[in-house]
Amino acid sequence: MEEMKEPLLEIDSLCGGYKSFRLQEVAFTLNKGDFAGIIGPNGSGKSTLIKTLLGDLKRSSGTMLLEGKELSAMPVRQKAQAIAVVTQHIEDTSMSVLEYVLLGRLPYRELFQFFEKKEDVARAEKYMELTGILKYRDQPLSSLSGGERQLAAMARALTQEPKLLLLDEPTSQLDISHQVQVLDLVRELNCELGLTVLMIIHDLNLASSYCNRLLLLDGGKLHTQGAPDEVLQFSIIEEVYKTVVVTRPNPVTGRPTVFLVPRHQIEKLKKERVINE
Amino acid sequence: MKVFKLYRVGFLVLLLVFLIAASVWSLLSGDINISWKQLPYVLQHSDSMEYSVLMNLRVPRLLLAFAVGASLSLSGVILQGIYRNPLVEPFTLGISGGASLGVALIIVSGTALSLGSFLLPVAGFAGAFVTIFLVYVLGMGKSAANINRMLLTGVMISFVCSSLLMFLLSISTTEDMHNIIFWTMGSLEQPDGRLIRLMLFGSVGVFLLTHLFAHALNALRLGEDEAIHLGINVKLTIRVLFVLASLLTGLCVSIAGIIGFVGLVIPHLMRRAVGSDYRILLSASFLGGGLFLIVCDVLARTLIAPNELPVGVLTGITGGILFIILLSRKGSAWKK
Repeated sequence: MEEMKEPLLEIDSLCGGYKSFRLQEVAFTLNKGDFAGIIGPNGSGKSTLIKTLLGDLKRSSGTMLLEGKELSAMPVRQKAQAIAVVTQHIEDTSMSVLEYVLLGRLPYRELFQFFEKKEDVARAEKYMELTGILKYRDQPLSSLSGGERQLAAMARALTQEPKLLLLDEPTSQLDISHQVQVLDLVRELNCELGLTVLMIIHDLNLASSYCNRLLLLDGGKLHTQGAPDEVLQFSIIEEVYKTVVVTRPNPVTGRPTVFLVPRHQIEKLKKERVINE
Repeated sequence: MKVFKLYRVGFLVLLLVFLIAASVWSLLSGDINISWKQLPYVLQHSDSMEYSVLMNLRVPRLLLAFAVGASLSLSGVILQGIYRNPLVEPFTLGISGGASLGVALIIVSGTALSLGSFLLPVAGFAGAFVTIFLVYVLGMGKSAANINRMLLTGVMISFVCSSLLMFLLSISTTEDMHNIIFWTMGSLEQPDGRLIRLMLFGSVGVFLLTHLFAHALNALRLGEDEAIHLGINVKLTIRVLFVLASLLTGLCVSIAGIIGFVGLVIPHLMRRAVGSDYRILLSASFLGGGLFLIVCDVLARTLIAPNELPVGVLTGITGGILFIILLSRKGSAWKK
């Protein structure tokens, strides 16, 4: 990874968001091929950051450059060709999976083009195959399970053929097997297609296992950023989440893993910490 | 997929066939019955009474019924699309209330501006236009996004208009009152050919224009933010479609009075038949609405002949019953 550090997204002193809650001077850079996770407690500004990037919320100051071009000045259509988003919820589930995935080709449609081209369908099918939902092609979304819908949303986002894929808690409503399935897929896309991924994720251990970079937000500010073992230190986590934790390397991946400590065991932990020091 | 597409196109063809059948039925039935066999004879003899009834009364009425039904249904499907709410129909936004108030004001004040048969339509359209303007300005706010606010504004303006209308009725003479109520009930009897042509061109024009936004409407099914993320200019889409749909409704109301339920029931039925892909739904709703109003008009003319039922009454009753039957059955077209 070291040899090709070409920046894709450069965020600098970004402020903005809601009236009652604002991002404060957020600055980070995503390189091409990064798989970055945004972590932080509830209300720390994770979604606000994504929404500000997308222009759903107003930026009040700072710069957001995508390949050197200011994002907020980019026409929506051009932006949709560069950034695709997977959110947690699909509003209308009466459409068929193919219809839904084909919506991903909208940013490339010409003004008077009424029907999709054959190549659009071919692309949609390619990404449905990749995400393993091609077998549901003509079924309505409503007949799919939560995990399968997430995969369909992923296929739709891929059909946009973006440079940057934004994921808003892709695993929050899934069981562990689907969590691993979805994240494995994202990793594959990241490694094989070179897709840059920025993902909001609550689960610190999944974030640690999959991401090469973590951005830890707290109260609208970027608290710490870096590789998982730089960010997931117990002192940092305890400060931000106000919860006592222990971190140990994952026996398989070697990445830091965060363990929670119930209140009645805290005394025991404190004694151990004193002895170790 | 091929089969599915074929089925959808087939449905449109079926609608077209029914439309032609209903049109013929509408042309042949009435006080003076013209039979199938007479038709070629009547068409060749332009001096016969049947010919004049056909050309001067029934054809214009048929065209008007089609244009009004199609327009109301189209407006309904567009508004439901931009608001993503199945209960919105052209009249929910207060357009009918505004139009009625405009007409009532003119009738009560006894103003006889020299507009001839244009007087009441112009008054109705002015009333509708003011309402649309108010809903647009008060409801849109800074962003186009605030759908609930807009709906509530429409409903409130509707209430205010109907209260003012009641007030006008309470102070008007019996004759004026009769005229206002008669206008409100809706009628497809329109002697002025220019108005009929206006309605026809208006409906077809808006129908064609909305097809530029069919993809945007499809994207909006995922929600406004998602549509923006797919590169759709949501603000522009919502504003243009809102204005087109409400002007078209204003035109309908000012020419034919209040004909309710078409904009609610027909789009709902069509959604069930062809799904919610607006590329086909717009056409299906347009044709379906026209067909529905033609059939209702024939029934209104023939059920208690020689008297005539107000067509708005008939669409309200049949539409309402149809809607209840649909809702009580399993599986709504609006799955959330």
